[in-house]
Amino acid sequence: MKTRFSGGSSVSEKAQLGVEVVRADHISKAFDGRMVLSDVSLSVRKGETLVVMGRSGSGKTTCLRILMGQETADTGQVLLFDQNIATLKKKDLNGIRRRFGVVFQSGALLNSLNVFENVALPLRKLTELDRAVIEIVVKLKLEQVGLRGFEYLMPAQLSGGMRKRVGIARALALDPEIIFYDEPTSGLDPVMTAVISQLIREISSSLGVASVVVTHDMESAFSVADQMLMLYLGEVVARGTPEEIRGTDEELVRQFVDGKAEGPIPLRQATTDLLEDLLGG
Amino acid sequence: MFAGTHLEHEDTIVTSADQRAATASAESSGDTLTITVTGRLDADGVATVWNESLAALEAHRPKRTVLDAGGVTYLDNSGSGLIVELRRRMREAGGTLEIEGLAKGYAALIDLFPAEDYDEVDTSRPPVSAVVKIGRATVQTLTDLRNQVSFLGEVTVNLASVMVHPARLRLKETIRIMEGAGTDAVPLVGLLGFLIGVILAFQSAIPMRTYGAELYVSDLVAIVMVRELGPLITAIIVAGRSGSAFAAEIGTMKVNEEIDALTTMGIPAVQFLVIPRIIAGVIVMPLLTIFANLTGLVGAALVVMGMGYPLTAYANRVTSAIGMGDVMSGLVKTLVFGAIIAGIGCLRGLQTGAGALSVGKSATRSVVAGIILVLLTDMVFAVLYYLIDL
Repeated sequence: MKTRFSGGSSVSEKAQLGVEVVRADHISKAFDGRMVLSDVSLSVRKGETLVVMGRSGSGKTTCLRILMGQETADTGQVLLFDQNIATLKKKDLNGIRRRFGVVFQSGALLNSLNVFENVALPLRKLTELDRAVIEIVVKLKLEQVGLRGFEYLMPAQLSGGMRKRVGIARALALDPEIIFYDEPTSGLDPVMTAVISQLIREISSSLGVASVVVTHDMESAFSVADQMLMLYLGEVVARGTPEEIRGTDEELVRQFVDGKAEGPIPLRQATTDLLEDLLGG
Repeated sequence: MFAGTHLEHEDTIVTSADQRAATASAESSGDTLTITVTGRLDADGVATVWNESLAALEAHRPKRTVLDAGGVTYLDNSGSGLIVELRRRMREAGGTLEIEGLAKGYAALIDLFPAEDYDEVDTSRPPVSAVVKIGRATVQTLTDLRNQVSFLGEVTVNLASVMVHPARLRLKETIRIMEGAGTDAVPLVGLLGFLIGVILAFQSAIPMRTYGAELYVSDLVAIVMVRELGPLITAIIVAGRSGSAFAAEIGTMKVNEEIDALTTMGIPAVQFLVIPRIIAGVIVMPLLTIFANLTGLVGAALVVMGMGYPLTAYANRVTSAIGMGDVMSGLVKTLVFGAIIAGIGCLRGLQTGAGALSVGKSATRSVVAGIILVLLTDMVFAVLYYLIDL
């Protein structure tokens, strides 16, 4: 199955090797009659990283939540490992859930558990592993994100970047085949942003996992992406490799990628003249 | 630009404290009213000239108003607010407003934003008919009901699985919750139980005294406390302290995406969060009730002894008035109260929407629903006990 590119180039070499693990066909979603996602299709292969970008409110988080089964699409279907997650039985869905990890925007660590217990949680709850093995696995995962030695701190004692990294370690705990990242670099300093981007690349290349990264941080997006997809008002307006996106002439995409205030994306939402509004009392 | 103009006029800032930041005076000739404004038209300045300027406008009702702003040394959005308001009132009255002598740099603040800045996006919402509203409310109610039934089902299934595999219970967490809901509530439950005992004794002593039957206060307090008030007071305290805490705790977790994290890991929130709380509630409620009963009886004992009766007389009356059946009838229902309070707290927590406001709302709803449900259940128990003659 080939992915459609606006630029018309071929699928990258790396992507051709892997098996398709995430696939969305024409998914649409409306909340209270307001369309937030309209006819979005995408596919991610093993070892490949897809970046879904767009402004706040463009539907990218909804798209991610549908992919990981936290929301169901109104139309269209999502296949993870060739299985339609909307029609799966709860037990089978939980089986699928063990095969993917999610890194939430805020880290979403359980505040009543310390760092060790957070990372160990999926291992303890979902496997029959011995305590000793769990301890080793947790140490390995924390080492991978550079936080070994912080096992017994509580989430409240960590900085935003550390919380995100613990979140990544927890998502890695069961060695998933897919990882979903929701805004992995938002609110981080430039160094931590680079660290997280590098981590995403390493995980993708060394473990061969498929990654879906939702972000509006362009620098990080270009550094991790194999494929990119831009959403605007719930619709896909561009897709392609980072080179294709960088080289596009499409004004909407250019404005977003270059981060310009002037362009086709409007600043103000109001429809009436301000002066009329004020004078009208 | 703003910073620049601001600095330029910095030297004209009013120096003496009692000198006003801005002044306004009005002068009328024929159809024309001239309002002269001087000084700094910032938030403080506008506050001092606002009433004068508008009052002058009201008093003269001119066809044409000239705002002489030659003496204005500084103007910000508060100043543009004053000018917009003058212009609005003049337009309403069918007149015109002209501005004279205003420094050029401020023109942008007066013109505000040019009209072509606005794009045409239709944000108006279509009107909703009553039928649609009724339909939506019905669907909402039915969804709520469905959620409650499925929550009850999920809790039952998970409880059963914990009974069969006790290792699945998060023991450490359950003990932590029991400490918060039970141990920490002991002083409050004790105090309220004691006070209710004292109050009941005094109140019932008033009619009893007429017949010289003050000692029988012991019977009354013992029966009421053990069968009814002990369990009820405890339930209300636990609903207020712990039901709301469960809702807020789980609600905050929902807002922080922690619940999402659990479900995407394949760990059901009910098993992980709700079951320990329900079990803690069921264990803690009867224990606290026993304590409330005891302190209530102690309170009543003090009152009775104060009336000149020996403690042994009181103890004899109490032991003859209530039996094991009375104590147990009170305690059995607290098991159900505990489950209801904890369950409602957790359910409201899981139903939390987005934001801090919604967490507070969930906590409130959990207490209200908890107390109502406890009283309804208590009524069912009362009827049941009456029927089986307990």
